[in-house]
Order: sequence, then C-alpha cells, then structure tokens
Amino acid sequence: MQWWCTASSEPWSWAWTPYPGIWLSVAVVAGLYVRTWRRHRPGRPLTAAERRMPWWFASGVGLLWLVTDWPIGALGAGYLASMHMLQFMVYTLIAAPLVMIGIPSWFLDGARAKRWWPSFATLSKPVVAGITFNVVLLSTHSPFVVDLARANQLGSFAMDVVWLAAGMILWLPLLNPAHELRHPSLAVQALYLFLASGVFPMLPGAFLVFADFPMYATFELSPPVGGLDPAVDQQIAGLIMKVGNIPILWPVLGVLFFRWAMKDEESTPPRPAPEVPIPVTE
Amino acid sequence: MAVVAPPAEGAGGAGSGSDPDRRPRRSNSALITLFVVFFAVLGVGAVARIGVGSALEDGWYGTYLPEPLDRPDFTLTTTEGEPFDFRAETEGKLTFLFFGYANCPDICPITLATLRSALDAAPGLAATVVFVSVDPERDRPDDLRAYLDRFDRSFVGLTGTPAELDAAQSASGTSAAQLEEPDETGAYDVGHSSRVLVITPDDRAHLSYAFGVRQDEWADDLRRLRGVDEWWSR
Repeated sequence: MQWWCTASSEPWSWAWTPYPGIWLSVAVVAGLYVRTWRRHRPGRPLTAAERRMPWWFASGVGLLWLVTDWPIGALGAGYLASMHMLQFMVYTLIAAPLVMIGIPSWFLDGARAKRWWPSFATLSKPVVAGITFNVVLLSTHSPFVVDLARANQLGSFAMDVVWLAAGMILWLPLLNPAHELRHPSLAVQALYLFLASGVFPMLPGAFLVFADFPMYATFELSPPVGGLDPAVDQQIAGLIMKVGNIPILWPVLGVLFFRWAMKDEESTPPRPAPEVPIPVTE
Repeated sequence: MAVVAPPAEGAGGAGSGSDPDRRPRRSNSALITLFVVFFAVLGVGAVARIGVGSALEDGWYGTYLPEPLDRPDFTLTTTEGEPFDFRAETEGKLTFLFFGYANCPDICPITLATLRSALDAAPGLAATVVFVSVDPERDRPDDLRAYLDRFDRSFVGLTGTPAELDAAQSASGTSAAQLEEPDETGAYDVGHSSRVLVITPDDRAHLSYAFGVRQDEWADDLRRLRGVDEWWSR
C-alpha cells in the first residue's frame, strides 16, 4: 500500500485508493491546531473574527486534503500535468490563504523571542516573499524536479509540503498572523500580489503552452487518462498557470483597492467650509 | 560649537548588546543558508541532467543495432481485408514496425502518440508506420482502423491468424506476444514487445526503440535520420 500519491506505471483506475499518509498528515495538522488553540487561548473573550478562525483553518486544510488525496492527488502526481497544476494553484492561491486567515495572532506570542523570528520577518517582506514564491514555482515545475520528485512517495510528499510553504510565504505580506509584519500599505499589497502571483507565473505558463513537446516524462510516459494527449494536457496545465489565478487574484485585488481607496478617503482632511460673508446691518 | 544630535527614537547605542537593528542581520543567516542549500540541490540536479543527456552511445536515443536485421518478410491482412506483403509493400521505404493491440492501456497508445508527434516534427521525412495487432480476437478490422485513426490516418494496421502473427514476430526478431489470464469481466491484457523497429530504405533495421524514449528524443533522431545518406541509397 502506498502512503502518498506518486507516479505510477499502472493504468489509471477510478477504483478508490487509500493513502494513509495523507490522512495522518491532515490529522496531525488539525491536532496541532487544536492543541495550540487550547494552550495559547487568551483569557479575554474572543472576538467574532477569532471565533470564525477555526472554520477558515478547517476550510483550508479540508481543501488541501481534497486536492492531495485520491483522485486529484493521484492524477496530479502521475498522470496529468493539468491536475498537477490545478493542485499547485489550489495549494498556493486558495488553501494557503485560508489556513493563514485561520491562525490567530496569539498563536505566535511565544515565537517573537525565538532566534528564527528575524528571518521570518525578512521573509514577510514583499520582495523576499515574492522572489521566494516564484523560485519555488519555477523549480517545482522544472521537468527535472517534477520527474525526480513525483517518482517516489517521499519526493512527492516533499513537493506538496514545499508548495504549501510557498503558498503561505506568498501571502505573508498580506495575511501574516503576526499583524505587525504585514505590509502597511494596501496599495503595495495589491501591487505585490499582482506581480508575484499574477504576472511572473505567466512566463512558465507560456513555456508550457507553447512547448513543441511534452516537458515532463512523468506525464508523457504515463498511461493515458481519458484519451487526453500529453501535449494537450500540458497546454491545459500552462493555461491554468497563466489564467487560473484570475478568479482568485482579481477579486482580492479589487477588495484591496477598494479598502485602499476608502482608507485614503478617510485620511483626507475635510475641506474647510466656504466662508459665508456675514451680512452687516447698519 | 559642535552639536550632538540626539539618538533616534528606538535606536540602541553603539555596541549595545540588545541592539534591535543588529539582531535581524545576524539571524538572517538561517534564511541565507536555506537559499544556498536550495540552489545547490537545483544545481546538482541540472548537472546530473546534462550528464545523462550526453552519455548516450552513438548519439542515438534509440538502440543502434551493430548487426542490422534484414527487412522482415511476412504477409498479414490490412484493416481493409487485403493481404499485405510487408517486404514488398514497404521495400525501399523508411518503415516503423510495432506490435501491439488496441485495448492496450499504456505502451501502445503512448508509443503511437509519440510516433505521430515525432513525425510531425520532422517534415519531409516520408515514413510508413505499420502497427501489427497481436490480438486478432478483439481487434476486428474496423475497430483497429478506428483505433489507429485516433493517432494518424496514414498508419497501416495489420493483423492475421495466430500462426501468421507468430511468423511475423519471428521474422522481425520480436518475442511472441502472450495472452494473459482474463479477469472476472473477461477482459485480458496481452504481453507484447514494446520495441519499435526502424527499417531504413536500405531494407535493413539499424535502430530499435524501447518504450521510454520521449517525443523530443524521437524527433531528434528522426531529423538526424533524414540526413543519414548511406541508409537512403540502396
């Protein structure tokens, strides 16, 4: 029995396949969350936003589970480049921010004194976070890394963990549980998100769409699923990378822009009332 | 008169052990180390990849046969029901010969898709692809034609009686296909050679391709094959 989804030379089957390593990982993450919540919960009454946080976190972890486990995880690990890309987009653009929204700032109360905190602060800067995310994006979509990692369970597990970490790093300047490390300017946040997850990923996406041949041996030489040609599958993957972020990114950018505009309006001092000449009666 | 500016708010004095501006720089070494390790792993990977690509013997992605086979001599039946004398029909032509079956879940569809894609990438290379079904029970002529048309209408489909197929595989130096035990639904797989034999216009097979040669590698070999004059002149 396999514990994590990986590439396989077996023809694809719609028969359900269990991956206990994935269940265990989800259970460990959920258990750690509950434990930390209980240990660090402040004595004061929780705010409404804090009470909603476990639901956000559960949504993120649930989504991670959905795209990591059979069938999407198995298809993405060894059969279809398009599913591989769908997994990446869900990991980094939906699940990671949901998980981060679900982490209260008091989870990190004890972490601020740790030696790694300054590194974490540096990683939260937009330039560093954006570069880190895109380096991970490029490397984990390079044919060498994909073919190497997806060939075995440990490599496949590592790639999924790196994706989740990269997704969380991407959102640090906006959704950092340590609020003081979020970038203070909403305009910079919007510009950062647009560049880091909207513009730069279009380049590797274009490579996939316009490549003459399938780039990944894993998907090219795997038993076909639904008669889908590997070249077409790769083009779909490229399109997902190029435009798949639009349904997530643009609404978020819209909200950021709207908030920024509202804030700007609030901070503008009110115009002085026009002076009305006082009528002089003699 | 010298004026001493007051220290900025929040800044510690020089040499202060608890200088908050100094501590982050020192602790960033962990982050830098992570980046260095990450790029080192990538670099090793890239070098390994280059090494693999340049170590191929003879420069072919396929297997070069130092003692080439003669163009096989056998007769089977086309998907139109006509007899097909392989040697006579393909004589002097660049020919790709492959044994498989239409219900094959992996090797055959991947190999046929690879051949079609590689031939598309080598325009001007006139080649005949011959697919011999080793599952005559299920691959009726119409089914076989429909299957091959999914890849390329020019692909030639052949089949025959078990005895004819055995003779064809033997003449091609290919191990005989074996029907495996059917499952509870009656479906069965056929164990067959995954080798594609490339017979050049000198009527000899100089190259064969095992499963796993990729489309871009096939295309490279086909472009190179186009320029191998001694194999073109009979």
